[in-house]
Amino acid sequence: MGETGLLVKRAKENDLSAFEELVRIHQNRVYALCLQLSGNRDDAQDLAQEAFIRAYRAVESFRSEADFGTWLHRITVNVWLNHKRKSSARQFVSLDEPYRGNDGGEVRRELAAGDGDPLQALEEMEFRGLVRTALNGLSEEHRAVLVLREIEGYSYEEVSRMLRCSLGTVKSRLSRAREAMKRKLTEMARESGEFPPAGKERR
Amino acid sequence: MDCREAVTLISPHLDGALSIEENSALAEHLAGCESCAGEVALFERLAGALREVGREEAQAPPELCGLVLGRLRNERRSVLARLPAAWRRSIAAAAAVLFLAGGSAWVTAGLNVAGVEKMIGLGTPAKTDLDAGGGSPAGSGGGSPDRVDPGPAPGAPGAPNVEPEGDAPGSPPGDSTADPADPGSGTGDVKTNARDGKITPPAAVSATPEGERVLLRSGMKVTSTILKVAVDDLAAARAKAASLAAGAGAGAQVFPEQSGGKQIVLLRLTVASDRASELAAELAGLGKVFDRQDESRDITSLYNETLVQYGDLRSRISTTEDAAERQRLEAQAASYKRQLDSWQAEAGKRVITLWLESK
Repeated sequence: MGETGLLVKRAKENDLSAFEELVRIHQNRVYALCLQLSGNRDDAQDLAQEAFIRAYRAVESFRSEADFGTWLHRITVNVWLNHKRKSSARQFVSLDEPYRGNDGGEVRRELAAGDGDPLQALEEMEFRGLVRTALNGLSEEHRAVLVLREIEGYSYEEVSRMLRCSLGTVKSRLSRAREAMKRKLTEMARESGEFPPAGKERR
Repeated sequence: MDCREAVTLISPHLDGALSIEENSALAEHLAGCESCAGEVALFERLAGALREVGREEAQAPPELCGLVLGRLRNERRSVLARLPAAWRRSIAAAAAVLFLAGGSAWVTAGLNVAGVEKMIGLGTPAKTDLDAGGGSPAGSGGGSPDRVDPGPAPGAPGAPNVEPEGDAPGSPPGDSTADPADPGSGTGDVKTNARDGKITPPAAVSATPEGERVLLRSGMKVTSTILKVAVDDLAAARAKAASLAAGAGAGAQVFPEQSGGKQIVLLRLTVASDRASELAAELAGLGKVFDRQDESRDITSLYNETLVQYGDLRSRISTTEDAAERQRLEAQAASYKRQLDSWQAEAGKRVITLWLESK
C-alpha cells in the first residue's frame, strides 16, 4: 500500500511512468470486473481502457486515505454505467457464449486447485461454468449488483455508492438478482438435464 | 416465522446483514423447514461459486497497458507537460496576472507592425487564459496569451480594416479562430498587415477550413525568452517597450497589473527571429535585468501529433450521438485547435515575455 501511495502521489504530479506502474498492478482486477460486468472480452477491454484513462484524468481528486483499487473499481462501474446508457438499445446475448471456451488454461488451473476429489472438482467447475453463463444471462442491473456484492465482496454501502442508488435499492435488487439467478439456473438445468436444481446432493 | 417471511431474510442473511434476533429466528425456521433450508443451501452454493469466479485470475490482455499509456501520452495534459518549462512558467505568470487583472483589464497594445507576414488575429480572451493557468486541462497551454495581436490602438489614426480571421466575408466572427465564447470579441479581434494597412489574406494554415489543415509540417521551432526587468518608471518603461516592439515589427499584448502588492506590467511580444536578439537587447536596456531565460524547442513532432489527435477528435465528434460526450469532445477539440493555432503563429518567431516591475 505504501508503494501504491507513492505511485499515486507521483501520478498526481503528472508522472506517467508511475501511472503505468499503477495500471500494471491493478489491470487484472479492473479487467476482471469489466469482464464480469460486460460479459464479453471485447467490451471488457474497452471498458478497462476507458476506466484507466478516466482514472488518470481524475487522479488528482483521489484522496490518499482511500483504497486505490476500490477507487478504480468505482470509476470502472461508472464507465460501465455510462457505456450501458449509451448502448442500452443493444443487449448482449451471451448465453450461448461459454465463458471458458476461450481459454483452455483456466480449466486446467481449476482442476489443479480442487482439493483431492477430481470428480467433485469437475462438478464444481461445471457448476461454476453454469453460474457464469447464468450471470451473463441476467439483466445488467441484476448482474452488476451480484458482481459487486458477491464476486467483488463490496459492502452494501459501497455498492450503493458505486451504482448510485439507495441502500434499500441495493438490498432489494440483490434479493431479486439472486432469485433471478436461481430461476436462470433452474431453467438451464431443465433444458440440459445436467444440473439438479436444488443442489442437495452434496449437502 | 412462516416461509414467506423467511424467504425475504435469506438474501440479507447471505450478506451478513441480519440482526442477531433475525438470524436466530431464521435459523429456527430453517431447522424445521426443509424447503427453505434447501433454498439457503442453493444460495450459499451459488455465492460460493460466484466467489470462486472472482478468485479466478482474469488476465488483462497484454496490450491493455500499452493502449492506455499510448492514449495518455497523446492527451492534452501530457502535451502541456512536454512544453518547455519556461514556456509553462510564462503561461502561468501571464495567467496569474490576468487573474488579478480581471477580464476587463485586458488590452491590446496599439503597435505598428511591419515585416510580419502572417499574423493570427485572435483576441485571446482573458477567460481562456485563466483556464489555461488555472489547472483546467481544457485550456492547457492552448489558451494562454500565446497569440500576439497587432491590433491598432483605440483611435489610432488610419486604423485598418477589421475582419474576422479566416472567415469568408460576411460569415459570423467567432468561428474559425476566434473563440466563440470570447466576450471581448469587439476589442481585440483585429488583424492587419501593418505594411500597408490592408487585410492580409490568411496565410496561416489555421485559416483553412477544418480538416484541410496542412498535415505534417517540418521544422517548426519555437523560441522563447523571458525577460524580467526592474525599472524606475513603470508607465514610461511600458511605453518605451511598446515603441521598441513596434520598431522591431513585433506584435504585442500588454497585461498591466499588480503582483503581490508590487506593480508590474507584462508584455508578450512575438517578433521575427532575425530581429529578436536586437529587440531583447533593447528591452533589457529599459532597466535592470534580474531574470532571463531562453528556450528553444522544435515542436514539429508535437505539432504533428497534436494535429493527428485533433483530426481524430473531429471525426469522433461527427460520429458521436451523445450530446454530453459531443460537447466534451468539442471542448477538447477547441483547445487542441487553440494550441495548434498558437504554435502556428509562433513557429519561426521569437516569443518574448517581458516582465516589468518598478524598482
